[in-house]
Amino acid sequence: MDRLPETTISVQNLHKSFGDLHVLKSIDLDVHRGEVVVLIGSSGSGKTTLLRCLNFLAEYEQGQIHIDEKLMWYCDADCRQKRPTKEIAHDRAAIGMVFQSFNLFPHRTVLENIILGPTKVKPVRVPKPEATEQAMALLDRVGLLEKADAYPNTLSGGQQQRVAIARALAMEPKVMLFDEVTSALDPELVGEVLNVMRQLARDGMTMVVVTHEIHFALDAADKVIFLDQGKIAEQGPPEQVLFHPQSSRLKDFLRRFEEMTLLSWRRAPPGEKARS
Amino acid sequence: MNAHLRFDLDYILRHLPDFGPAIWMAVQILVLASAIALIWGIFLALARLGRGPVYWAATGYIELFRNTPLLVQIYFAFFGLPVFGIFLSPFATGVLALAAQHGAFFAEILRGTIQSVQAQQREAGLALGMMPNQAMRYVILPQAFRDAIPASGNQVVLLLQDTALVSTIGVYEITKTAYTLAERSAASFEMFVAIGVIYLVISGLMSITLRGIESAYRIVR
Ligand SMILES: Nc1ncnc2c1ncn2[C@@H]1O[C@H](COP(=O)(O)OP(=O)(O)O)[C@@H](O)[C@H]1O
Ligand SMILES: [Mg+2]
Repeated sequence: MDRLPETTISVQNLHKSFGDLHVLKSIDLDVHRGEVVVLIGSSGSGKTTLLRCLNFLAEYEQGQIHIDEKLMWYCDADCRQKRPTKEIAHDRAAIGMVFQSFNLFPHRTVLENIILGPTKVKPVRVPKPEATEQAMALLDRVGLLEKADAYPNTLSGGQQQRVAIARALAMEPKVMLFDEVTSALDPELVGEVLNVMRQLARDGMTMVVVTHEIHFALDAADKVIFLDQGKIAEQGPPEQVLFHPQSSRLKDFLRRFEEMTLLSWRRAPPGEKARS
Repeated sequence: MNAHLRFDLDYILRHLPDFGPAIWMAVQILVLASAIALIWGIFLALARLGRGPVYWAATGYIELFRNTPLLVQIYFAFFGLPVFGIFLSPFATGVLALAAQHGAFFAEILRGTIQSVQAQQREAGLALGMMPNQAMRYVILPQAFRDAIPASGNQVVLLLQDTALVSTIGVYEITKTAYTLAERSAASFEMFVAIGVIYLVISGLMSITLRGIESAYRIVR
């Protein structure tokens, strides 16, 4: 295996505003191949906006984002030079994104949701039989083989989210972005989705994960970043950031999870712990 | 006793076969005008979601045709088109006039359902790497079409009723036929009761069909 610390995502001096609201302030971030980076931070700190910038769903005023050493999008002072939409769409196809609200296509079956990208969108189109075969393999991987012909609305939230992950994986992305993908789920359904993500991390997928599941950060992340008011306030290995917070802001933030999460983790580490 | 208050059912039954060709004519107008109006409505709706001259042209058209009486539009087409050197049969003129106005109605129905498809749906498409037009085609329009089925069904039933106006330019559809038969006899009241029932039956059949289509294509969210 190639052990060079290849940089998959490189963010330099990223600034993003909505009108007068300065949401991201000078973000610098490197994500290496196969790395799992977990983003934490309170609501409104800019986590979603950062993910949307990584995917060019949001335009930004200043800074650069390279994916696989390629400059994806930039804007000069007066924003005259823009990358053509087609090029952006092309590159976006290689970045998977999973949303809090699943966003499966309700008019298509599970299988049709998954093969839409490969057969109609992927820069090199995959023939339908082949795409179907790959989709079934992905469904097997997320444990939903028997739901191929079901419509999304007949599935539980956890099942829908696993389909959404499979749909993103069908594009064979270089990177996967997860935005609070378990926040809309009933507690008993969180585990099945996190397990799929853990397996993905073990398989070497490069991932940027916004989550409030401290368990997941502790057992799957290589790096945890605490975003506070649009700035990276602390970052480092999960144990360092989560158990030895430096700033009072992070201490306050983590205190909210103490009873729910950290204490229970200390009692029963997640590897052994059956989530319910 | 009072002869002209007697309801002459017999007369209606005797002339019912005369309505065969008239019903067929009305159905042809209905089907053709609906089909053209639907397709035209899709174009108008997409144009109205666009920008610049395309948006303004579509908006101007829709407002003009929604806000003037259909009868006036039919006369305008019938007497106005020849002035521009366009000579169409009364039948074709009627179909186009109906399609022109109902296209504007369909466009507004569809614009509404397109805009009511959640923004996250489009975003999910873009995140997969779709171009904006692909997101429209694969994600938004299929949902918008299905959402538009109930309102469009109602619109087609209204279009059936509007086919009666085409009688004014001499197309022998149901209403014109009733006029002609009524003129020849003393039974005008009976004639118009008869065509009322005919319209009601056709509308009823259409409504039943539409309910079927609706339930077959419903998206449970
Ligand atoms: N489209 C938008 N227009 C205006 N303000 C926005 C928009 N999206 C997000 N914001 C604002 O940006 C800030 C960061 O939002 P977000 O990135 O969603 O935070 P988080 O995901 O960490 O909760 C918030 O104050 C939010 O209100
Ligand atoms: Mg968010």
